[in-house]
Amino acid sequence: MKPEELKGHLDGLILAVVSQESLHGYAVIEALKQRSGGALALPEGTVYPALHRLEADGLLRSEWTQAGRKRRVYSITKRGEKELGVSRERWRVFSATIEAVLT
Amino acid sequence: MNYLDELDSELASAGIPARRRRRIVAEFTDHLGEDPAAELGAAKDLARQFADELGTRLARITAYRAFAVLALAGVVLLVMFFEGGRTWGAWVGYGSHPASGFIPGWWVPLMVVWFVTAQVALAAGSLALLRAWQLRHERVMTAGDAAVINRRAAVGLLAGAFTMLVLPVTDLMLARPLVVRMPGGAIEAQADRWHSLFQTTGHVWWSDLAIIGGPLLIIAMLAMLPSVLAATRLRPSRAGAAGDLTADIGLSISERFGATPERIAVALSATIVLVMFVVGARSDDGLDGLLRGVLDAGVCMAGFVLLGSYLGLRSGGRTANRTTS
Repeated sequence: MKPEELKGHLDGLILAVVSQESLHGYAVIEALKQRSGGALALPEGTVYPALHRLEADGLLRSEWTQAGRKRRVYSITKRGEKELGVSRERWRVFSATIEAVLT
Repeated sequence: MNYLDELDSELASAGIPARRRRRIVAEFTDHLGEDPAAELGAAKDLARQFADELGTRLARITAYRAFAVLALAGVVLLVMFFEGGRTWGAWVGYGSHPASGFIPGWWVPLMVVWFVTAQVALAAGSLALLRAWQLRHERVMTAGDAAVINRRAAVGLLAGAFTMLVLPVTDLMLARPLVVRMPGGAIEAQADRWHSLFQTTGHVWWSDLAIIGGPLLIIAMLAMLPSVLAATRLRPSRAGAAGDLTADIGLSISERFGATPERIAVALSATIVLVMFVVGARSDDGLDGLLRGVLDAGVCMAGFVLLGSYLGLRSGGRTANRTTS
């Protein structure tokens, strides 16, 4: 899948993977790849600006951990969970509409 | 220069603050520790993406906060004026002392400047909010729009701080001869006056709150300026000119009514004259209201002409295009 096709959905995808467990940046990218069967192969660096913005918007929180290497671990906030619900619903409506037209 | 050094340098060029920069570089160091062959992308592109994402948000937040502080300041001023006599002047002795009738030469021009800065603060703060609100769904706004929002917030806060600061300072200066004349008992006399102010029957708590809150708002406005400065450094890189007044009221509405920045400014000024006249007429002094309205409208039009391009009120103004190419 081309990166530009993900525009507008990246926030929801990140919130979805972080909602299951707290993850650091590299693990977020790996989780996106694994859960999409490799289809979501994003340019890796581009996920970080989105993580920072989502945190600034209060949808994620993060903290440093020092288990081995120093790393920033992200987890979802209550507001983030709410936003994830909105994203899921929006996607359901969008995909159902497109499918109805295409099939 | 290795990749991480290059990234740090590009982030600095994009206006990312040092603390945030250190964090980003640490996260990328961790990422490369996991996968040394990772394709993270060109350092310059990443720095721009950070500036786009964070700069847009910062400009928006700056506008909201600036407006909130300015709106509170506006309420404080209104409370003070409607509670005649219970102003900062009353606190420092001026206004309740027999010698207070003395008006020095500098007072009138200063009050004219005060009147103008109050209008500028109100207009700049409101317009910063309006533009930020119009662009609230934009994930990345143009460099021009971000610059305009930050400028409006900065001008609003500076004008607001000046407006609020002038009142106690002039009161103190006017009261100075009184204090000099009674140096021995000045503190006791002042303490008595403050005590009696709070003992005055019929006054309400929000009046006291306004008098105490005023200086706090001045501090808040001045304290916000460094963050506005940080916002001006961290501008999105997306090319594009800033919109004008038509973008503030919404392009679709502007098109529908054939609005141009000049027409909007004239319509607003005419509305001010009309409103002030009606308010004056209801107080049995229509002429006074009309004169005040004309004065207000004059300030409005002068502001449009003088600050129009700087504050993104009319097109052809200064834009801050840091092109992405």
